[in-house]
Amino acid sequence: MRSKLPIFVCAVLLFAVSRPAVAGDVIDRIVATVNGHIILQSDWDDALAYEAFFSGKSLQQFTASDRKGPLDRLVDQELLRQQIPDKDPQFELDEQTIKAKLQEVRAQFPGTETDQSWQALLARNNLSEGELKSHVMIQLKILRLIDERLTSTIQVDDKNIEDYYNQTFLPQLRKTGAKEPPLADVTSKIRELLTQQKLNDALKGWLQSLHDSSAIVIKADAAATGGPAR
Amino acid sequence: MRGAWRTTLTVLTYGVLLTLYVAAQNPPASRPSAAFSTANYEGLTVGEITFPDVLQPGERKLYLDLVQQKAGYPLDRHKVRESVQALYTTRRFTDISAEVDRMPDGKVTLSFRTAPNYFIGDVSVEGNPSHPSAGQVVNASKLNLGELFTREKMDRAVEIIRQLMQQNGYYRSTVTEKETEHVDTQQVDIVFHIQPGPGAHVGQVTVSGKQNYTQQQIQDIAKIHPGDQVTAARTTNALERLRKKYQKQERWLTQVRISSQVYNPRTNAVDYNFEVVPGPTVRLTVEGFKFSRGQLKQLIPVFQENALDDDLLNEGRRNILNYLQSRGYFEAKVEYQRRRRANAQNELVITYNVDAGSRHKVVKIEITGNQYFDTPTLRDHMQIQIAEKLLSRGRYSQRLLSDDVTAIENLYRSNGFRQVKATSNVEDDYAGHKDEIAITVHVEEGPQTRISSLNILGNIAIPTDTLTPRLSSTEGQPFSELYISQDRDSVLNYYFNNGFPNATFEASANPAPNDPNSMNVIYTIHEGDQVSVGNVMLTGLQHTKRSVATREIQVKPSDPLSQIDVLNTQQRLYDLGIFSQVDTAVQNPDGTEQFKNVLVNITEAKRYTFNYGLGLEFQTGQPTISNNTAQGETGISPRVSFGVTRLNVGGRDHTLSFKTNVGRLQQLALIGYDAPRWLTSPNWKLSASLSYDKTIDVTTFTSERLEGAIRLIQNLDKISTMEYRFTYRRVQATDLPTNISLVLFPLLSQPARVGMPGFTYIRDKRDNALDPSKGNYTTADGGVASQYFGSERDFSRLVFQNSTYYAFGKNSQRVRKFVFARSTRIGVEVPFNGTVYVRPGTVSTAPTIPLPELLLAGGGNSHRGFGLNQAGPRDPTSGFPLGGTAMFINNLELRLPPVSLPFVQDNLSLAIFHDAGNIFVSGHDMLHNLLRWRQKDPQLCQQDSTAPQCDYSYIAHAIGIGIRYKTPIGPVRFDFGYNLNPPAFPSCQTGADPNNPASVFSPRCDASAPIDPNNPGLLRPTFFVPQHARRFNVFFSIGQTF
Repeated sequence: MRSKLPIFVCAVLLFAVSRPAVAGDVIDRIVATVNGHIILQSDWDDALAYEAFFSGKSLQQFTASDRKGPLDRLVDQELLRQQIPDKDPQFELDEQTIKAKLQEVRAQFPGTETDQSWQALLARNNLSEGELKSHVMIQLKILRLIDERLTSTIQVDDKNIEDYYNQTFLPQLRKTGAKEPPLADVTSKIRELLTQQKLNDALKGWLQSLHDSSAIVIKADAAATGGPAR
Repeated sequence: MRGAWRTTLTVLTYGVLLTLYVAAQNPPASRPSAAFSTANYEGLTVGEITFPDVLQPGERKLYLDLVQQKAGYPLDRHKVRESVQALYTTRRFTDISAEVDRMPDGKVTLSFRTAPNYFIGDVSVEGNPSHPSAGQVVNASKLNLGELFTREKMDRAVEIIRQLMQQNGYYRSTVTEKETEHVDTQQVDIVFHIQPGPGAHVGQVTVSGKQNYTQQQIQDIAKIHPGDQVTAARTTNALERLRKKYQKQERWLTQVRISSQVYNPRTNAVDYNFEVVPGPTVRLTVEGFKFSRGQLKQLIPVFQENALDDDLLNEGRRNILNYLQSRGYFEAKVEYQRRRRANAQNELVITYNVDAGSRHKVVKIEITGNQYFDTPTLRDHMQIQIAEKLLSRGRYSQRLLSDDVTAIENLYRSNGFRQVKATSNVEDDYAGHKDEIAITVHVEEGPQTRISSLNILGNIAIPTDTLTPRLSSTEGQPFSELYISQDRDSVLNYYFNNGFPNATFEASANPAPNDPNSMNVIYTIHEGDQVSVGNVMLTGLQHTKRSVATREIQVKPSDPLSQIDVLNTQQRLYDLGIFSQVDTAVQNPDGTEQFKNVLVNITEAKRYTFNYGLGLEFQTGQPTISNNTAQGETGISPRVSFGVTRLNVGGRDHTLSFKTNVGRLQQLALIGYDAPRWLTSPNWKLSASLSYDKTIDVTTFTSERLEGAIRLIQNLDKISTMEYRFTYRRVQATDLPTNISLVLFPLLSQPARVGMPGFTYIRDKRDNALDPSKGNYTTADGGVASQYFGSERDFSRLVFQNSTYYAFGKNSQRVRKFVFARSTRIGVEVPFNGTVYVRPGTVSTAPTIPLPELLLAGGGNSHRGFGLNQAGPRDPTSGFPLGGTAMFINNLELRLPPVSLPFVQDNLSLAIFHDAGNIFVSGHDMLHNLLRWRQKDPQLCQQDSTAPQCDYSYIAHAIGIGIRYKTPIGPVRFDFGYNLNPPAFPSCQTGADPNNPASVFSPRCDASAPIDPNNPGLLRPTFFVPQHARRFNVFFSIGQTF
């Protein structure tokens, strides 16, 4: 018995040093860093909630790969946000603009004419009006940034329109057998389409260059597991 | 043995089972949770907030203050998020997660699990070759102390070091690194291990382009050949040599570069291809004015820069123009043109066309309209000058005048005259004198704007009363943007030095409502958060006692983080003299934590320094007395020197040194021990030395002394120093002249032990020790040699010196000023207790003051009417000076302002001086002869019979002129002194002076002439030859006279 006591003491000591730290439920954590700025699990959760809200899907319908998309977009959003100059009045938003945008969002959801029904819809989607407002504000700022940086550089001339009309528009129309409208009738529509296309291309290129020149770290477990719904 | 194994196995089994059991009950912290949801916990009261991974309790408290979610309040996901963000912005963590646990009482524990960031600590290198040095490698790594350590930075550092090694020819080098993390300080020390491998050699050297040389010639010019060792310097020098070769041929546009550099791993060789594009021959000429080639090289920067472009050519044009204008050609015009000559060399000719115009002279400069500033004040700010002796045409050019006008306007503006307008007018042929010009500068001062009110807003932590004394602007004072700028710097400096690194300052000024000439000024300060010192981390000490370095650290934990204190810490550590590098930095500079750790990383200097040298020494300025030469060596001699210095003695800032010089003129050996900051006091220094010195003091003898001394130096205040010392020495005069009085010989050549406690008091109020222009300097040096201190001779000595300096003249505020300098030195030695001073020509059996201990004078830093130590009483037989027991020297010197001359600019100046004084046999003689301007009865010195009565007690006067050339180590000085009343003195020579009828055979000389039994045929000095000390003396030295 005497010889067993030290063995037991040693075992207890070994247990003490090898005991795992008491662990609880993780309620938030860092999932990515973008040039030293962190993106948290809660940011990701919120982004998922917005996407679910706007797409009309429930969170349970999101697959693991679906969940990765909002994180990538959060990274893009952060990259663009870091391009917004501090204290630049051009990016200051007045309450009226924000309110108008919120009204515009609300108008997309029929049956939310009353505040009560609108709040209920937000609550069902785990969103608050304040969170939605923050979301809208950052979106507005980024749109202004894109407008300022890219839109002015997009040029669509008559030849571009004519080429598109002859090489893309008409062949597609002919396949359907529809009547071919004269160029003048569709010029403005084609201009708008081409502008949008070029803007998308320019944004894609800009984002790529921002990715290339930035320090972006996505935590391995976040990339693997995806973000669960709240 | 088996029993022991069994016991161990049992322990492990118990341990593992227990661990597995508890692990099953408590999942590990890093489990990949399927639920990051706060929904289950939102709204529950947070009972406790913990930081399980933060070890320091102090840090835990800081973080607890930082997080927005507080204990006792419902769990709020937004606050948890903000808390994580706040913790992350401290930059002290690389990863953070928030975890909750339910407590039995229904509350939850919120734990922030963290993984620490590490910050760059000591970076060192092992295994590097001599090139690149360890310092170069560390610098190249760009790993800065205190900054965040990241893997990317480390990978980049290794890559850069690898490239650096390749640049130095080590293509096969391997670079690895080892990191040592210090969990307690979050510092990481990095050691780069370099294995250089064999150095690459030069492979093939090829040349492309129209280089006009063969490949072999190019290799010879560039001094780069196959088989040479590859180094960074070799290729750089090769390019430079090639460039210079072409530039010597006046091909300033030559382009030389290494177009390819290919490493061949198989042969470990680098093949180089040099591409040479010689370009045309460029010929630079000047038409319309004659310049020497040397002047052109000075004026046209193409020659200095070894390049040719329009900027340099234009600068050359401006330089030529300024040169001409400074010579009086004020209307000169200079243009240049390029022209290609269609010859074989495709020569490019650049011609400066000079139209010098007529030569003028500035005879008048007038300033009108100025009331606030007087004319001399405005002239102080102007560069143009009236013609004077040393500037015979004056100084003027349009550019200088324009600059002067701007300077005057700026001066007025800085004093509130915001609408000031200065105009200039140049009148040629002034007063009917052809080519003489008068310049008038008219100033319209306008109203002076004053500050009506000054308010400081936004200062919360620093009260206004503290800031106000630091401001240049005050209510009622002139409104000046310059002062506002100074206020900005002053206020921000104060904030930065009190822990507000992000403080900002904005100034606004608006006219007062009822007075447009008054301004209401508002300073708006945004203080930002105050940052304090967390811990001070001192690293890098190996041999030094920690307390030695710690007491120099000026930043203290919890104090506001002050930039100036950090800089002072660095400076004070360097001042210890035992560290080769002291880096100070703030740990985690980009983090937002309130308490910042300050890092002090030290590299100790090598403790042993050896120096050795071989050279020549020469002794001049000791004229021989006709054919009587001193036995001590003069002239030139080889010299060997060797020294060892041991720093960091006993881990302190103490130094032990050994120094020796051996030559024919001087033999010196010295062991010294210095302890600055004695007893940790910055005001005390202890110094001990043991030395043997054998050197020539005067032509009369060679001084040999073995001395031990201990000195205690006390800084009384900023200007006063006191030295207390005890010296114990054995002195002996050897190599006395062969014809010195036989009666004196045994007395003077006797060795003597002198033990002398003494002191030196220094009070230095000079503005510049090297070249003073104002202030005063006083020293008093005294000591008593007595048998009570082990001395064989008893005497006391007191030497007092006082110097004063006055600057005067119209331009006394500026560099150009006259300086009147005065210095008076009085010294007395008093023998006592049986010791005597033997007057020359007399005899005594009592012990005498040893010859090397007597007072001497004469020379470039003493009395410039005498050669070095040639003043005072002389031996009646040999004619050599023997020194005395009293000294009076008074120097007056007028130092003229520097003159502007070509090439030397403002560095050359003149001085005129008057030196008066002499060495006396006693203090009594000195006092009673201070007004004696001529030697008493000089005829006594001119006759053999009365020669021993020759008297030297009078004041010798010398006047002279000196030239000073300013250098960083003080002025280089030539002095030409003319003694107005040099002494007559007797001497015994081997032959009569045919030009002097008083020169006769002397029984006295014959009686005192020594007989050398070993050399009976040697000529003996038996003729009396009366002499005069020479009137004219020239001195060359560095530093002002006094």
